[in-house]
Amino acid sequence: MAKGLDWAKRLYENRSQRAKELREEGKKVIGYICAFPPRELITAAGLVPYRITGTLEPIAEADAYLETLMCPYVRSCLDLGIKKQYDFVDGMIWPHTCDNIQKTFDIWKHYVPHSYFHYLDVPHMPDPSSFEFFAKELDVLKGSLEEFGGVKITEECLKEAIGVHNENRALLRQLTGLRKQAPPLISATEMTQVMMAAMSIPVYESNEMLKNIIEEVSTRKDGPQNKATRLLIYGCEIDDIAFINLVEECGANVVIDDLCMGTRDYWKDVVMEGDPLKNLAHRILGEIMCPRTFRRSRGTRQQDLDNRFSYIRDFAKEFNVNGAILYIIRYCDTFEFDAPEVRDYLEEAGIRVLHLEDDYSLTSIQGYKTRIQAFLEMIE
Amino acid sequence: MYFAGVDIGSTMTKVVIMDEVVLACVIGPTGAEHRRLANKVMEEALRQVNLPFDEISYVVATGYGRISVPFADKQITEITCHAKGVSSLFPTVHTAIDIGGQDAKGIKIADGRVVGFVMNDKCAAGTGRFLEVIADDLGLRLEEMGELSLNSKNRVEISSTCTVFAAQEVVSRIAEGTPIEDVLAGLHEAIASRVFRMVERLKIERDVVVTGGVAKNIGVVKALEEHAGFPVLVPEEPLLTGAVGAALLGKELTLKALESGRPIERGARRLEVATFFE
Amino acid sequence: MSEQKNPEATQEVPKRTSAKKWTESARKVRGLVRDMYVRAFTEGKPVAWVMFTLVNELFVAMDVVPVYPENFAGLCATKRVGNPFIDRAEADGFSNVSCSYARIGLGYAALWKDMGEIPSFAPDGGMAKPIMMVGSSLVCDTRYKWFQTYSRYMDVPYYAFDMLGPPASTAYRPDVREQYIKYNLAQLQGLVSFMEERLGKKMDWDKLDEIVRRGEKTYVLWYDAYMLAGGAVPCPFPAEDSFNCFFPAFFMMGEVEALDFYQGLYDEIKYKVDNKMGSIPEEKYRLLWGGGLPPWHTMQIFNYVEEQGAVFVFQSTYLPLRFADVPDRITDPLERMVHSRYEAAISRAELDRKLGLFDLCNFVGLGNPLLFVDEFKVDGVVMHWLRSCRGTTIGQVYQKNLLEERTSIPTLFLESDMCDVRDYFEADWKVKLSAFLETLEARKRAGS
Ligand code: SF4
Ligand code: SF4
Repeated sequence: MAKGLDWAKRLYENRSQRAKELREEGKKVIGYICAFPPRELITAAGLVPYRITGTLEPIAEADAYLETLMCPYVRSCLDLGIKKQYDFVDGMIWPHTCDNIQKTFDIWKHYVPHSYFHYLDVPHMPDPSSFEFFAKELDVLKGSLEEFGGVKITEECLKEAIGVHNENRALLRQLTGLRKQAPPLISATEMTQVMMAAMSIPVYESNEMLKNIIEEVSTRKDGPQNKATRLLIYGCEIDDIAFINLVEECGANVVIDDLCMGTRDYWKDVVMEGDPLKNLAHRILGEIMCPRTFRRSRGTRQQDLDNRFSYIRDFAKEFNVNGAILYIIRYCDTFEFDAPEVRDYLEEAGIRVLHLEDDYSLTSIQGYKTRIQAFLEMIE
Repeated sequence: MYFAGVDIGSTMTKVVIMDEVVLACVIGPTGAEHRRLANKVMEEALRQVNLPFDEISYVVATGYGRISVPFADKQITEITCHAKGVSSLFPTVHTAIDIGGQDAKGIKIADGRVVGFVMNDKCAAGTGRFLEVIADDLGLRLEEMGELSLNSKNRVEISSTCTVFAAQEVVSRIAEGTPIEDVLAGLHEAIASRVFRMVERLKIERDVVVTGGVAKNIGVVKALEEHAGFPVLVPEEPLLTGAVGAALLGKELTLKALESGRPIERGARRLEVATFFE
Repeated sequence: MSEQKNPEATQEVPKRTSAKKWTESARKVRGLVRDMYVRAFTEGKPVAWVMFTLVNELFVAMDVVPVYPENFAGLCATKRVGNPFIDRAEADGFSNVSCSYARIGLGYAALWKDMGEIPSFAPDGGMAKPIMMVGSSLVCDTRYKWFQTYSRYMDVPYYAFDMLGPPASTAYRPDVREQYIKYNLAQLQGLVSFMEERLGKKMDWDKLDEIVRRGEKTYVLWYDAYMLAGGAVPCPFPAEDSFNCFFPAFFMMGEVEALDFYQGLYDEIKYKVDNKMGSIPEEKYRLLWGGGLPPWHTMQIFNYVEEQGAVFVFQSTYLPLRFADVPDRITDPLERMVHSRYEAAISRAELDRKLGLFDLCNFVGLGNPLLFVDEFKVDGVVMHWLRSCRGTTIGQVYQKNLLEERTSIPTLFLESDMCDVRDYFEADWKVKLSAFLETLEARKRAGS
């Protein structure tokens, strides 16, 4: 069997392979969309969590079920669903992340039948009442997973699952830490493959793979070359290497990201002490820095901006970047509204920004190449 | 020492050869059947200055087709090259607007350097292609369209963002008997406003220089001025700024390398047929 | 930009874009709209900018003049003066697919800041400066995101709150009901505290109670009037009128004028129904506006179909909430508000159940076309895809598919935007609408 980065790469190229094998062995696979559903609960119920993604291929079938004037990532996921690519998924957890996902709930349910389907409401506000509401939602989800999995999720086994997932996140952070040096020990293209692989297998295997990769990467000699520019990528869903690879090929080291399939997913852990559901709620609603969750601040504009975006600036400092690319998926409203603010905030902090709006499928790769190269020429 | 800049655009290939001053410039079509003939344009330029290719110290390729010019030492994007070229011609420039066949761009410039840019290559409605289509339909040349539109007394409004619809609108207006100059004026305004809105994101500052094929259309230039509220500058040959900038950047790189005594990075340099994206 | 130029100069003189009004009530609305903007300047009361969130009663109770930027955007579009605002917002990097209400609202604040005064071309004198802003997650994401961004241009405290709804099919479950009502109530309480703090005074709960109860009556009249009109043959109250007449329900709820308005509307419709008074002379085709905001920039298009003997007998975009009675034991006015809104969700699920759509329309069921097609004797459904509004666009194809699975009623999709006239192509609309009417004609002939 392949080891380390190879393992990840193979899984990236055939993401569903392991899940299908496990299914053959009698396990049940639970698909979920976006970074918000609690994988911990799926694991605790003895089920296999599988992150649903889209593809760069042109959308063919989904247009008969969804408007073209909406998030192309969601459309692409549905396209795969309709084409029966997600038939190995026994059940789905559908979170209320954004309008696009929420409103696709009925459509997915109707046209891509799974034996289990659960809607997880996620408040947009960060108030004590919101955390309480969300903890309740998680409790309901727990009950429904118990029923579907035919198991009882005890507090003890939930805590254990949380511990394993914390370890998973810690390993991903450790790997990310190896990108601080120049040159970074792992490229962003490889990192994307790792992330995609890690989100397609049981967490125990994922941990093993990550340890393996960290070991390989720490001592490797064939890592990325040193480039003149170090970049951060900010955005929503990037679940293919094409774009990041393009940026790296244009002559930059992409050393840190703020993406759904990146640090946004693993930067913060679940607290171990105390009520696990409350702690889960706190991590997801309070600590996943996604524009879909409102951040309250009663202070000045500057305080509000710091409250919302200083972590991105801190990433930039910590990883010593000289530029940032905002990769925004068209029709993704919450990101579209934040993008000009993020751009100005980073520029203000002395970080040059390239703001791109894409249809998710990278149809005009040549145009991006010119923009990215010009951007690199500008900041070199 | 001689330097060359090659700008391979979607429709035109431009070559500039210079030493202290520009010695030769040649513009030839890139068009489908000429796609592989960038070297011919280069040869033509060399013939004009009567130099063998080996005498050229450094060649920079830019533009849409820059990627695979076999005789270039380096590729630099058209954005950087335009900024360089425009500021060599107009040192006071702060904003450059380039409207070419396939795309339109705005470049913010400070001290001859790019400090920001925007680009549209998705929507044809804000580029020269759109005008070409209409010019073709009407059997007019681009320059003629511009002149003609200046006679308009009563410009029509063409609001649609979509090229297909806008083209339909033009055709139906003319069929209705609306004077052609009024329709053309509306068309130019539609393009100008689209481009202007895009460039506005950079916070337009004077002086503004307009380049690219569409800069030859006085109607669009005037409409841009109307949006800006002040006059804009247009180079004598608005197609050449990219190639000029490319040559100048090549010169800078060479001189810098000479100064520091470091060898200069060079390409393999074969003056032969260019391959495009293969 | 240093040389800021009045965008008015590049704007063509707006032609008449609004539709002919068929009812007395609809004719009154324009005055009410103007009043809202004028009052904000002249009454000397504190002003709030609010996203429609079903909480207008709170502002009325606290003596605040609420101004609704989304309405302002629609008004700008009707007058065809929205695009300079849109351009200004896009110049700051906001996407051309971001809600055009938001682009107009943000561009307005930006131009105000640039020019140092309210842009002279702003209709009705523009929106007066607020002392607070309130948005919520009800209906769409834009509605809590957008106001956060106003701080680029104006320093006004902003409060956002949640108003969540469960999947319609689970709404009836007591545990679900309790969970949602509890949360939404806590969220409303948060809003009240914010308002109290901003205004430096306490909520007068008795006054609120009176206003909420008046609101409840208003909602019922609104619902009854719209439903009565929808079923009437001939149609006395075409969709363009009903697109006008939701204004008091959305933006004046709780006020005496709103109650009076719907009483008047109900009486007018009742009279016309009783006397079989329609609108257009011969009603050949009855259409349903089955989804998507209307094209505020060109409401006249409704008259275009009317000229061809077709009338939109109903629109299901601004669907009146159907309130079940709130039990009397609930005396807290905030709780009454939360309950009544929740009950409306349940009543929708009930309808779904009746139509055999149970658990099929949890989130995209807003105004099931199926119901209206049947009850309102509709011949064809028209829906509107909006480039910049996910909230009312997503789900239209699904609704069409459900319709096709169950009926043989044809559906037409039109595409443009609620405000951004650049996305509208009139010739295309006219061709599509005429062709659609021709298919309806062919169907009729084949059927008879
Ligand atoms: S990319 Fe944006 S719009 Fe699309 S699913 Fe994610 S959050 Fe929603
Ligand atoms: S529902 Fe549509 S129009 Fe209304 S605020 Fe949301 S995006 Fe804008």
